[in-house]
Amino acid sequence: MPLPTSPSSISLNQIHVEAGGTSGTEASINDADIRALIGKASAAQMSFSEWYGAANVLSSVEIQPATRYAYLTGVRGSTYEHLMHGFGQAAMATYNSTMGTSDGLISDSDRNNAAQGSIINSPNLSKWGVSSTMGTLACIVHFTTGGFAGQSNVAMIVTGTGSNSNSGFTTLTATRSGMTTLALNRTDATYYYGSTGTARIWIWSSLSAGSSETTLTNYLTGTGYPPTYTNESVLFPGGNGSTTANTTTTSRSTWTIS
Amino acid sequence: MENITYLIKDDTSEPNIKWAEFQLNQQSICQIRAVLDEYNGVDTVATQKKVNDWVEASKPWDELV
Repeated sequence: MPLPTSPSSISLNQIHVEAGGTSGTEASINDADIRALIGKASAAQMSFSEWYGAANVLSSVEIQPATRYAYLTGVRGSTYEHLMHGFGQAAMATYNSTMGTSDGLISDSDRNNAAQGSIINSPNLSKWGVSSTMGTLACIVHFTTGGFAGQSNVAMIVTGTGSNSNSGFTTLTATRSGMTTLALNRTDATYYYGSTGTARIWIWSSLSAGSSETTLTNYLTGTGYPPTYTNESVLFPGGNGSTTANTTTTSRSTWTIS
Repeated sequence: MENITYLIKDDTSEPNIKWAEFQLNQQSICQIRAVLDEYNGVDTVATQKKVNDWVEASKPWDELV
């Protein structure tokens, strides 16, 4: 539960409890867990009013992506290039059955390899949420689907959620220097709930094209068809045309739920 | 193809949005937007078709539903 937004007073004990401490135990305003609520550095100047409305949640992450391509054979001998770029691709394999066949055709062995992307500064991903914790952020990826190599999709997977509830945020926003901001509405996504592992999954697709999904095609460049195979993600750029997993790109993007 | 059974659920924060929820398989539940009529009621015929079409499209191309 977030701290009050405009109280007549706010106590160090309230802040300590919100940070995960035990009520009535010793705490200092310079403790790392208390500073983390408002993103302050050690020994920085701080005012109690800065904790108004603060919540022990993680609402934004900067992703160092892993990028991965695959060339697949379709019907009548046709071939396609697929991409799956971002963070936590293994979760897409873990929840493959939960999502039916919505998660593209890159093989599970590819998705489960060591190149999973990472989150800058190693925040506590189990605190993913806006005003309260939704669960653990397991995956944000950009991928193409099925035989339609021009179909652009974004998935967010939150695990350990405990209950089936299509809620917890309004918008998922992606920003990166030089990139037009992408804002995806929760209500435009297809929502899945997996009882095994209690995962909540949102997938936005250019194919279903809700109001905020119509621009998704702008974030997939090139073509996934022969002979060029030049698909590239604008959200997680990482070179195109290589089937080798890649984690060396410096094109990080920031993803925020609000 | 038989009709897929679905439930209508109100969105948790948007009063003008309703969801069609159905069992996708043994492990999972899926929600897609229900089709509403001009009075913001659920168009059950259009929603049923949307659910059926969605399930059909989610299967491998050579699998019968």
